[in-house]
Amino acid sequence: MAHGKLSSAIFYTKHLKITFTMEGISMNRWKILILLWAALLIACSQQVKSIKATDPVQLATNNGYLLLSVDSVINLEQLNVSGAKSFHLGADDLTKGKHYILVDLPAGDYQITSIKFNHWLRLQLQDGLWNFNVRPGQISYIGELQLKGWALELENRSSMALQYLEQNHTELLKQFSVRYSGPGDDHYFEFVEASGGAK
Amino acid sequence: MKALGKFILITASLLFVTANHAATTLAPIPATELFQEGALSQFQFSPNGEYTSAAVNYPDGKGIAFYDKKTNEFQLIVRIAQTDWIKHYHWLDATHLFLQFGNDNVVINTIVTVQDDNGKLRFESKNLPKNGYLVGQLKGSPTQLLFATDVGRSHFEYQLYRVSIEQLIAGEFPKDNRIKDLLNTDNATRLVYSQESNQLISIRMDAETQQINVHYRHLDGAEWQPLFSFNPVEFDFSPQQFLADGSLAVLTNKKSDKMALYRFNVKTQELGELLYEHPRYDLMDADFVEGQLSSVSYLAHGRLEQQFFTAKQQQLQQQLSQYFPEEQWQLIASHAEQKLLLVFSATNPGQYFFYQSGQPPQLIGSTLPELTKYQLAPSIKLQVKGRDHLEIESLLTLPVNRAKTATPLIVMPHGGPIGVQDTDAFDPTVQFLASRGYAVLRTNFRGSAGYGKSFSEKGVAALGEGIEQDIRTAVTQVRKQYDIGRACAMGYSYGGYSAMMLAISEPEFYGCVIAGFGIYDLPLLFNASNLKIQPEQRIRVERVIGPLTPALKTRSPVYLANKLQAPVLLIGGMEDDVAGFEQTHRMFDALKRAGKPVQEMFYQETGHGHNRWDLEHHQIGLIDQFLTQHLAARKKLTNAEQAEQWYRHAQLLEEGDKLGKDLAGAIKLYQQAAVFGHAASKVELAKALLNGEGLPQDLNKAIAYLQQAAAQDSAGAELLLGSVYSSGLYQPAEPAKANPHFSRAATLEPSSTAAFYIARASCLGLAQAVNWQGCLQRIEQQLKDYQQHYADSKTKQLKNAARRVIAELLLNGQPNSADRGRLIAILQSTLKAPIDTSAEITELRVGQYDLDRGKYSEESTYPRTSKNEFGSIIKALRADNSTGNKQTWLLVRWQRQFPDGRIQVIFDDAIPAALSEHLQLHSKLEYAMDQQAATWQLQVFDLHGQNLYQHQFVFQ
Repeated sequence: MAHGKLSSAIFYTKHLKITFTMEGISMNRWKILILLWAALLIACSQQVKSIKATDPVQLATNNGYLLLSVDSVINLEQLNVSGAKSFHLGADDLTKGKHYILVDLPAGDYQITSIKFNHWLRLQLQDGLWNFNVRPGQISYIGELQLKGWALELENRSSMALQYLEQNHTELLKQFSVRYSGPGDDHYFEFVEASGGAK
Repeated sequence: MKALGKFILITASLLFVTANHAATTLAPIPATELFQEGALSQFQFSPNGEYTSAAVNYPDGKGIAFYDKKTNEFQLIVRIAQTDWIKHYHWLDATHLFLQFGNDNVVINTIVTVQDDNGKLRFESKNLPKNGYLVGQLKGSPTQLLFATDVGRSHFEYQLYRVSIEQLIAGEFPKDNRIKDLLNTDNATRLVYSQESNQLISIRMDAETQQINVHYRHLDGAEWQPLFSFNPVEFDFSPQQFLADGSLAVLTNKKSDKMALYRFNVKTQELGELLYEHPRYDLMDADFVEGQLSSVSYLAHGRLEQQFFTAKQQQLQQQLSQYFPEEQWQLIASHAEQKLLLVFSATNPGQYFFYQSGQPPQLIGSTLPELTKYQLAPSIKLQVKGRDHLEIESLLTLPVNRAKTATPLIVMPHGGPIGVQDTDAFDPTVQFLASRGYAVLRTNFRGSAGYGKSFSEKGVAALGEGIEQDIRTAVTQVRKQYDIGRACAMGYSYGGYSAMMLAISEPEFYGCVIAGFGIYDLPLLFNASNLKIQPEQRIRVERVIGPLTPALKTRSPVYLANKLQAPVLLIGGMEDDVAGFEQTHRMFDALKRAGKPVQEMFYQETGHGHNRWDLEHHQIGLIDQFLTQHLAARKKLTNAEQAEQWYRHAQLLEEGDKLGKDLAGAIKLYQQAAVFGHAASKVELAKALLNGEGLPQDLNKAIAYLQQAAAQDSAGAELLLGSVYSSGLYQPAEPAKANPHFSRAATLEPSSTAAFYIARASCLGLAQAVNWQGCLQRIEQQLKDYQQHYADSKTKQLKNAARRVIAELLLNGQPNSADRGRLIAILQSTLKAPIDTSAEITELRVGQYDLDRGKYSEESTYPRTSKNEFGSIIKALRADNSTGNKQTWLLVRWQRQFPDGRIQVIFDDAIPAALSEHLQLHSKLEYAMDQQAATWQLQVFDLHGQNLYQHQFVFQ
């Protein structure tokens, strides 16, 4: 019953989306279910926690802020990231539903490497699809990680992220500009700034 | 006498035929009558012509039905849930149908057997035990089918078998019947069988190359031959029929601008003779009879046109054009000389007729029968030359009750923009707007389907430029020829983008914009996510939008927000994975920051459009309100319309799925609607007042609202009044007061659960003489008459009410053994297995239940909170080991005891329990009346009323 349509040529069909997403996560459902990982691998990265609105604004030199949101239909155990600093986000920041996560990190290139659902189940992510950059002295927004069913995607939701910052981190926004630093290229934040909007 | 009779018959038939034109009312057509599923579709004759079958959707049943010409009635032979639909069906032979039905998530294959039992028809449906699909049917008798059955474990993988109907029903696929040497067996391949040539055809979509590869072979052969291959991005290719010389008749635009009919040489894989091409329009379909081309069809100016090539077909066309001079028609089925026709137009949503040469068409039924009482608005065909002399067709609908001057206009670009077109068929949105005094203009701008490849390609990269220029040219023509006032631009998907761009380019003409599920930031289409930036996806976008360049920003409404003068209604689905919700939210954000007036409606858990009719009603009601405010074809909505919209919005706020849950907001809207006399809103307010939910508990106010609504013939109000006076929960029970309300509820709505409460009063002798026979008969009859499909919400409501009443009667009623047996039999009718009538209960868990953690904690007293549930998990064991029965019924009672010793039964219920199954029996301090100081008690009985288990819950 969709009213109008966008040409199916533009947007991938549901079939292809599943195919592509499966490639993106590099294995099929059954392999995921029987995959086991050693706890040792987890111990190498440091847990970081999302900065709260009430936390003081203190950014080290050559560090930047990473902003992302996670929208999941289930509780997640851990989100692992490698790069300029290897770290992971823990269960407290990854409960089901939609949550924004703000952390400060050394500037540099990063990649989301895997997601741990629970003690036995981890999803390894394919190289090249989950890269992002944290710029020094800035809030780098990389997108919303959406986990719905078996589909995983990092989607650009800049306008919603901007609203979140304006409502929850006004002090931070006064001091640091926000830029899109996820997959692809986008300059909505700059447009808003130039129009006299948020910094 | 005979001549007069014939004259009357002909006149009567013509009246039948032209029923749509003799409408009586010009009032605004309610959304509920326009936006609804059609009542009839998929008509077929059985192979021997004995039966006429159709997919039907009527209030008293949905499914496949047989049509009786003599009585003009439908008899349902297979019933499906209201939330499902018939995907397709067909006759296998004179007594068997294959049916596939379900919904977005479920597909069920079924075989229906028709038996004639001395003139009385009996029907048996068997769901097929295996997943798969019917590939085809072999010629001859007994009926042999080809079925592709899913044998995969983790993903779809099929094997093909030749089976009889009986084997298919039993799920038996003998090894020897397997068709070997299939080309591919995965999800990307589809098998088709050509009965005429006994050939198997394998169609495969290669995900990497995007190529569609089709092969064929003789059914019993092993060697596959290529039939054809093509990339749908480059051209279209649609096979129609094998021809006598072994070539294939295909519709394609590979060698021509238009989709035309060619002979395709399978051996050389070359397109050969051009069989038919229309100079202006793409062909949609081609039919052959005995190897000869008999007809082609296409859409000309949005209207279905057919060319016939045989004398018989041309004669048919001539005859039908006399009966249906204005309408479009399609031959749906034929058997001997009998034909089934579908007749439709912009003002006719669809009517089915029998037709036999020499006799007037006989109306069977209408797809939307409620609309026959309205005068719908026809389309006017317009044509104009675009700035590069491209011919652009439009459809203009003028309101039948149009203003004398300055008719307000709604310019409605379609979606796409490539590969979609507006047609001259019934459109509920167009009729909704036209019946409210708006003219509607729809333009098949460059890029639209149906006009050939080059017309389609001219739409590529023309977003915000050539496309909108075509629309502006069409609007200019309309303004020259008709007295048009102000306008609004309105569209969905690409139409939303186009509406914004039109309003930005002509601020003095467009007084408002309505944009839904649209795109507004063109560069974002290339950068929407980590998957959408991949080269293959970007190429897809480029094929429509053109390359990613800085210039795309200058044609993106997000970055032009400060230029928009018109107020905007912005609609979006928050799970839209076609356009992407960020597109809509970004547009909203940009407009707000630019200080522009924008009203948003973002639907939660909604994709690229709605899949529920109530949401369509809500959305179009919102649009109606918005247009009334900004375009003002009429001064304002009527009180009734306004109240209805408030009520719809309140329902969504209360439900909390599609809009954020907001009970206070819902109550406020119900109150506003109640002031305007809306009966259903009064009932909702009464519920809130009874339960103390959203409003302080107030029994007198609740009764007052219910009495007002009852005076307006609300069956719901009468039922609730009956409950208030009979349940003893709100005040001491007064059966003498309750009984008349239940009776009136049943009169107003015969399918109401009120029938069970009328029966209850009769069984228990509540303010009337005891009458067990009448009581039991009433319960049985109500279930028999009004149970539809087990999955329908109405049926669940009836069954739940029946169980509760039966539980109470078994516990309180003291029936004799015959009546007890009859009550048990009613319960038993819902279970296949016989009932074991007693059990031993073991308590496994008890106490307060934490929903988040899924844990019980048993305390001596529990906190008085509405947050947590409380109750027990029990297990029922077989008390009588002599029977092999695995099921029983348990009667559950929740009651509370007040400090003064008074005992109040909260409710009784009958629960089917599989022995050894864990049963979770919970309650909650949910409503205001539950906050009274009391000890709660859970009791479990067997069908004889013997207490098997009880537990007390004491609250602080």
